[in-house]
Amino acid sequence: MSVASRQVPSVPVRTSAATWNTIIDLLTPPGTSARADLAAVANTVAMLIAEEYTCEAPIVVIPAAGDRVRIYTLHGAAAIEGEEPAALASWPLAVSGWRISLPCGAADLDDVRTALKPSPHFEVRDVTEGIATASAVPQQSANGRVVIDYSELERS
Amino acid sequence: MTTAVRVNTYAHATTHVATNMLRGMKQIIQQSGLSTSKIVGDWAVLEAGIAAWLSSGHLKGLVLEIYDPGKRAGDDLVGRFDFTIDYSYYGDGDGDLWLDPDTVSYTVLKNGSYPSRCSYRLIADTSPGHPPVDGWSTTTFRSTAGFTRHSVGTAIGGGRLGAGLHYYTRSNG
Amino acid sequence: MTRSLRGSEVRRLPDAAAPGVADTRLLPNDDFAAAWSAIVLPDGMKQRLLRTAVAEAHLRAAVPFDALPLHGVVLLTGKPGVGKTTVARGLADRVARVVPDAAEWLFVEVDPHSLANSSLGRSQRAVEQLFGTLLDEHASAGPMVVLLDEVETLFTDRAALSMEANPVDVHRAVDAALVGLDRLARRHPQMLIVATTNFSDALDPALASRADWIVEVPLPDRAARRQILEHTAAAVTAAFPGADSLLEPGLLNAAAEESEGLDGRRLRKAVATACAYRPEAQGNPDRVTGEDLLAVLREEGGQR
Repeated sequence: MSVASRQVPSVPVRTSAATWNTIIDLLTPPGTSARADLAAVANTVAMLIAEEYTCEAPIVVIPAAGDRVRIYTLHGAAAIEGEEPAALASWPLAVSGWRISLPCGAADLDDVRTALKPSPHFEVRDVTEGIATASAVPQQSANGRVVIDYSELERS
Repeated sequence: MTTAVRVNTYAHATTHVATNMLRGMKQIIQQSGLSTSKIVGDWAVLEAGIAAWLSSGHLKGLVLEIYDPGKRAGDDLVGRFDFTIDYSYYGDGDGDLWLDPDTVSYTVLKNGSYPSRCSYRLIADTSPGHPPVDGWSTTTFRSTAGFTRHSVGTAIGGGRLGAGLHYYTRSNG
Repeated sequence: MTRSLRGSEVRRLPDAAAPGVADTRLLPNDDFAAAWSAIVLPDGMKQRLLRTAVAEAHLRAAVPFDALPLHGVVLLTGKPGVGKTTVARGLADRVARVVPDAAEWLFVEVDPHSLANSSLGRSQRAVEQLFGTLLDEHASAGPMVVLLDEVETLFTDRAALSMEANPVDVHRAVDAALVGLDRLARRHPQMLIVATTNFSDALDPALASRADWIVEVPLPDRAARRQILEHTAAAVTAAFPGADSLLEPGLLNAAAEESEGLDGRRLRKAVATACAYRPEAQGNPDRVTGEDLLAVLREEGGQR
């Protein structure tokens, strides 16, 4: 399966809190229930971004179905020189059952785990830890059978 | 998707200094044995205020007061850390963005830790006329009578800004 | 108030301002459907194009690329104005109706000029961004038709590049486009690419070799010319009833006879030029006559 990757310029181009808002705009349109879930963890995630944990290790968005999204933040000169992230091809949080994995340094791991308890969509991992790739997520394409609307074909 | 080079360096400097002062305070809190849940819980509001008032030139400093709720009100201050802002640290305004984490570590070293029952609050020291920012209310400082102020040095800088770090210790026992 | 997105709202259109993107829309699309009906091609050609897309859909879903390397690319060649771009858009609409999918079909028209015109070093980067990121990600979200119009602009014959105008960069851009195409073909069996070219000689052979089918769209024969003229005349008469002499069968036969060698676009435009031919008509389409049309077509013949 494939992964879409994005880099978001953070401090000093925008504050850590504004960086999370930019990421929220990438992931969901206005007015959705997912947006409220993302806003609820804004303070915690802004801190993770400020501490630059999200620079080397991505925020990983795991949709219920479809491709994962890896989001990195850029800091310092890289942020200033970086480009704004392109929009995604779909809204990954549109179908319920999505999760987001956040990277965190050892010093803050326990506190963040506690802070995220009320937000079941979110999980935290040590910044040095990779994230397991999903097992056998069904491919969107090819299961060998294609459905054809033959009446439309004959009408052409 | 734009590829324009961003040239607004004063904004970069204020964002850099604001967020990193907040990180510095978090480091002090954490390494002093206190819980960071309060500062993290207010992170967005704190960052917004500090950045706004640095940008408008009204921020004189960011203050961390540590107090012991077990002590009598008015006499409960146990520690204080200040970032003070110098708006002409770099005369020509072209300072690269930098921060020195050792400055903060040194400060914590000199102060040891506080009992975990201690609480803290962050206060922005601003000049009059500062623009309002949601989530902030006005307050007064606790008296630092009986404390000595020490200066550690400039910890964060960029553009024409420099943020110097200071800490307070009890003068007598 | 919060809401949840319905499944059909999950897929997003690409940013129309992204480099290399000329148009994007979801399919089926009624404008494209109208184009399919209106375009006049030799008997059976449209239907065969559609059957090609259907056969590809079946085969690419089931047979590995290494055994049967189908790139999902159909190349339409032919003179300007014969309807290559129009039929490509119509085909996109047809395919979306004939091969329904849980996700909606997406149509993206690539503007090769905006990719090829970038400054030194940018062309290759823009091509990689378009093929490697934008098209790849959107293809992962569901089935897709990509129109590469005037494809020779992007897949220029590398052997023919002279030592001017940043040739190394152009070379690299073509390489990147070919690599990008291969990668998309392997990863996305549900992506159909329709490419058009006026200048098949200017095309890099590597692109032609990747085309699953190359179709030459010819100039219209007499019957097709008559059909095109009639279709245009009917549309004009619907708006300007006084133009109905254009619909007289005898006139249409003569006009079709008179206009050999003209492409479909020229024929349609001739109907407009006819309205301006006689000074007495004063440019009023209600006053156009069959003679005006014949005169204009004779003029066009003289200019060929």
